[in-house]
Amino acid sequence: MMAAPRFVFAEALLLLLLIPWTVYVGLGIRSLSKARKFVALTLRVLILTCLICALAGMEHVRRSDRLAVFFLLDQSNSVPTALQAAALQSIRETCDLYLGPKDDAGLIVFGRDPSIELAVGPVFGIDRTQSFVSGEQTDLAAAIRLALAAFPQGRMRRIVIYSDGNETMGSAVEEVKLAAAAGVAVDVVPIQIGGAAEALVREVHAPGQASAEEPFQLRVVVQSTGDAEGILRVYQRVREGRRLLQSAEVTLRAGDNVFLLNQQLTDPGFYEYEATIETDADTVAANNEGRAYTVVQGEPIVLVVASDPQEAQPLISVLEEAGVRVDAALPSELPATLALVQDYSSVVLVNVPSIDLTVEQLDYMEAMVRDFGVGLVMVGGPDAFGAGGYHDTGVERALPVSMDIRQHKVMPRGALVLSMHTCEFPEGNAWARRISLAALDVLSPQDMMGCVAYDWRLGDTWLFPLQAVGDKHLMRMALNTDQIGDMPSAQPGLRMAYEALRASDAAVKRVLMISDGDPAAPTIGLLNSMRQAGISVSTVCINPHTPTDQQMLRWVAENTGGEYYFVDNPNRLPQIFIKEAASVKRGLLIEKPFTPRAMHASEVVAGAIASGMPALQGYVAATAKDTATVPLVAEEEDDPVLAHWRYGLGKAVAFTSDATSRWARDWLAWPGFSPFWAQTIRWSMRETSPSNFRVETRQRDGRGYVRIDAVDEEGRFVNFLRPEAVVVGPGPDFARTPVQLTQSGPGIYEGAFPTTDSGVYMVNVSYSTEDGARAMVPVGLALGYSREYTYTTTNQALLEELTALGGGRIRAPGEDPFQHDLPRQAVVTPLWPTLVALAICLLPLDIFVRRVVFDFGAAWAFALASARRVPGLRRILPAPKPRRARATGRLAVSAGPEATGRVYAPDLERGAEPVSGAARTGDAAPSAQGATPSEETPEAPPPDVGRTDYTKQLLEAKERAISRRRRPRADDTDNDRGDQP
Amino acid sequence: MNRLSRRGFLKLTALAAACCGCADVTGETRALAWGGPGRRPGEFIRPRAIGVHKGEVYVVDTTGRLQVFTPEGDFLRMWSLPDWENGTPTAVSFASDDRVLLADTHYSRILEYSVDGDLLVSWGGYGEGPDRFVYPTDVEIGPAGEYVVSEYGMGAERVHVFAADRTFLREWGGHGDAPGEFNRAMALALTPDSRALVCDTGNHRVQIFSLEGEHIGMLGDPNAEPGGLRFPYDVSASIEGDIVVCEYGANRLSLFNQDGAFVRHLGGPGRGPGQFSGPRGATVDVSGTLYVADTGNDRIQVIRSEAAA
Repeated sequence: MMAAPRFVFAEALLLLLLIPWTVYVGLGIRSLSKARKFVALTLRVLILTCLICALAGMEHVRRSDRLAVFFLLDQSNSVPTALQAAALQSIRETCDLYLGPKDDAGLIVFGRDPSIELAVGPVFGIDRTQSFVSGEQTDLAAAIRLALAAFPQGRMRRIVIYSDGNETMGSAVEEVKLAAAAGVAVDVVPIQIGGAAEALVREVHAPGQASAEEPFQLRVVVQSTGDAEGILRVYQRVREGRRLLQSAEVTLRAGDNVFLLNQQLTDPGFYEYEATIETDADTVAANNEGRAYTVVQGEPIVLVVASDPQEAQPLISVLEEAGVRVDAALPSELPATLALVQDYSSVVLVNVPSIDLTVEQLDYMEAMVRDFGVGLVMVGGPDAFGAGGYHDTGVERALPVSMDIRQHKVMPRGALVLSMHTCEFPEGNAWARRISLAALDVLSPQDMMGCVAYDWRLGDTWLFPLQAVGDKHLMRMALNTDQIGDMPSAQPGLRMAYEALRASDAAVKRVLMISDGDPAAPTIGLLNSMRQAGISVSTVCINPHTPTDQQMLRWVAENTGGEYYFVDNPNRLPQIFIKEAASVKRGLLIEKPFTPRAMHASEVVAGAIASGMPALQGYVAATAKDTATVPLVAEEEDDPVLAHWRYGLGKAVAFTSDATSRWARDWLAWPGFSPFWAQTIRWSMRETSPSNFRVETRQRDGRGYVRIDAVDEEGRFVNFLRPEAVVVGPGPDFARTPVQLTQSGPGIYEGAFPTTDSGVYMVNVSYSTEDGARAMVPVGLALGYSREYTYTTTNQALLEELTALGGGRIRAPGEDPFQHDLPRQAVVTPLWPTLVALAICLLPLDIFVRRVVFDFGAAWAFALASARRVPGLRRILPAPKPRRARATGRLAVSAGPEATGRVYAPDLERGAEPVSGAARTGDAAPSAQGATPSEETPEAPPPDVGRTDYTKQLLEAKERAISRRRRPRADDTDNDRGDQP
Repeated sequence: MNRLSRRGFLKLTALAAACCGCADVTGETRALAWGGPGRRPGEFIRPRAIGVHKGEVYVVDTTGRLQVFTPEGDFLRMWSLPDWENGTPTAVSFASDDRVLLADTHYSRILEYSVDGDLLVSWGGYGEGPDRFVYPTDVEIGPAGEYVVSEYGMGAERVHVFAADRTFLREWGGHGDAPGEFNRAMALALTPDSRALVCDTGNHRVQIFSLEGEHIGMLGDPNAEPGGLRFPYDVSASIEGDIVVCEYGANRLSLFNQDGAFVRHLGGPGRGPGQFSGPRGATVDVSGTLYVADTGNDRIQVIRSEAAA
């Protein structure tokens, strides 16, 4: 260990020049003896030095010989699980063998994201990892960055990377440069992948567009590590479903194998081609398929979706009469992806609850309208809009109405109690906060909400009791700060909810319980009481340990009239909570006859509403968005009945009443019914002109590329266009990225976009035609599997580059990484707090030395006398020498003469002058020290302990001084009086 | 110098002990804590099953490791359980021939290991049939070598008895709150006179049975305080027959004598020495020393108590 001080602000050391001046001034003080003066000056100099060094930012620097090693273990999908386990075993064995007393080791696992499995410490000792990292990508750079941030200070530092080097995100090279600059060595233990037989579908290519009856070739590229026999299957998926086009036995050669399939499409639509390869000479199954998309433009189609097909029938009839091609579907038949919904010009949701749609469908609706111009129409009913749980979904964002109710003065209120047991699934309590807040957002201020959870200190307790929602602020705070424990029994929480709800005046009362299902069940008596009180309990089962766990929650729901949900993906939870929260808002359903009132003129229903509308029997309350057009409103509350707007490239319509006999029985017989709906739905349909442009997409090296070949109807290049392109990434995020297109040749426009996730990237190219119309060309780019599955060999070159840049080397598994061959790192300790503390401690000592005379002789005599009282020591220790004054056994202040025979009063003031003993004894404090009783003056008090007390002496001196001052004043007063006439 | 009063001395001792990891909690009980959060040997993530056998303490935590320690907390050895993602065992017990028995609750099976970590046998499996388990929570070996297994789950609130060759003999229980019924039979212990103590967690009591299933009595009067129980998660009996109940809901231990009379509570909610956070397991060794899986505090507390001894 080496140690050396250093200063941050060395300029402050110039203040040390004050020290000689201090010494000079100090030497001039005559009131102190030489010894005291020397000590006092020394202390002053020390204090000054401490303060100056503190100002200068003095630091203690030492060089540590401790070594910290972070192992970085690649857990991406390109590294087979067996090799990951072997690598961990190798790390463990290395630590067992070489981890010394001056070494620390830690472990970071990484894939798409890094995670610290084990912080740096003196023991390793784990034989399996428990961090969950996505293997879809390899971000080695992020892992190195995390290691650099997590290294403890003051150690020699080494990173040992166990990886195949196939990074798909970030730049490890750049991070290693930073590591090297920070003095961190980077070693690599390559994980050798490959060797095993592998076949993968490397590419499926189809033209982005094709005309009806136009022949084209579908190209499938299969890569193989060796010769093998296999079966190649090609499927085609369109609206009607998926069908097998070809299944052929093929012979694979080492390298790329290209297979061509002639295709000719007749019907318009969005076609998905899927190719799969099946062979025994294969290791990874995930990379055995690929997809491509082809669009055949043609007649527009409207998709009408209804949970009850009968409810959709009137609209379907209207559209068919109007010559619009219609597909009818149940919610479960709604296209699962944004790509497949491109078949349609408009999607009409007829009283479909949000729970019947997947999270991906709810979210892609927004991108579908905004970025691809597909229309969206929601037709109301008891399960639509807010009552259907569409709050805060992509559908709500795309629609011209929001589900919040702001314009109503009085609404019947509902009451919802959440019973939360969410600590037993990953990130459970974070989800609990999210879903509770989602439910809270649905409720109106007059609604009531409470939340019950288990707290380890308090047991079952209210996070906040059932109360009016109000401005939600306090509830948000409570939900954001909660700590939800492991609920042992459902009974206490449900009982609390029951008692609170029973006492409330809410019209609708509901409990929503989320759990893994393993708390003890509530009693049937409690559930019966809840049912009789009109309280339903909906239950959500997530992450059950066994199938039995579901039984309890289902049983609770069935016995109280609630809903039971089983959730295998937490992403569904917000949807359920929103729907359940909305269920207490039965006030959203306004079921009374009314005649819609025309509000705004509208192109959508121009002419259709002029002929006089009959009454409707009900609607779902909603609020029109600010920029929406609202042609029809309800009579009393001005609630929107019909609203529409343009949203991005598309259009959306909300009709809050329905199109069935439930609420619109008079409308069904109304002559204006058909034109009204035909016009409305037609208006929503995608606006697009036929396009001669060919748009192609491809993927290479982690990026997607789009190319437009623009020719007009006569085959001439179209130059100087300003085409716009937007790419929407795969769900659940559906991230929207504009693509910069530049003209790279006659009629050729190109652009690129990042493709980090596997899935389908939908690209929509739009441009204005010469006649001012808008043309759109949607195309899809499929990344069927992660790039991780395309790697068949270790990227040795990158790994070697990392070690070269990082000052490390390629190591063999099991090699000792704990060699102390790195530059020792400085451990810097700021010293200013210590210096200031020292100065503060020295200051009283300095004052003590200057102000107090310590009688060492008396103290020694007292100590000696005390020690001689101990049996046995009396004969050993000498008797104290007789002194002129009795030792008090305490710190003594001497007012008597010391060796010089002069008496010093405590120098109450700096530079106080010595006075003669006679003068002091006359009117100053008598002393017990240094004077024998015979020498005491008659006025002197007895020499006892109290008399030698310094404070008492001060008091007495003060009293005498005061009395002296009073005496002459009294005389003066008398004199004054005498002078008076 | 004034003489230090006894109270002052105790306070001083507690302060000093707290500073070095020990504490004098009540003047007659000493708590020693070891462990701490982490995944290294000697550290825990929510320890929940604890057992002591021949001077060694066995602990299972939610990382799926079984770690073995000396009573002073020195790490001896460990091994990993075959599966842990669904959940981990809630009890560890021992046979007289040194087999280590784990009720692998969330995998519906019983695991038997040697003391060195060799998996000898895994038996059971999911189901509601008499020889299957939903959530086996504890297993003990009776005087004739029979296995006594407690279990919970819808349709499986019961206690099984299997012969030494693991053939099903009998079961009793059922869901409910009547005597002999259970609402989450969370743990099991056998007294020296072969009575079975079953933690009836949801009913806040410990029920006492003969090994034939005859209901003998109950501990934990719901209306008594002290003496009432709040979500008892584990129970253990000393060689004298004294009973220790680990109360998850009250963050404490409750001690009963061999006659079932309440003696005292130990601990309370907190992070300090002698305090607990959601304890899930407790056991007592032949010397009367208590070992508590202080789950929420990620540690083991060892309590040497006159009352427990």
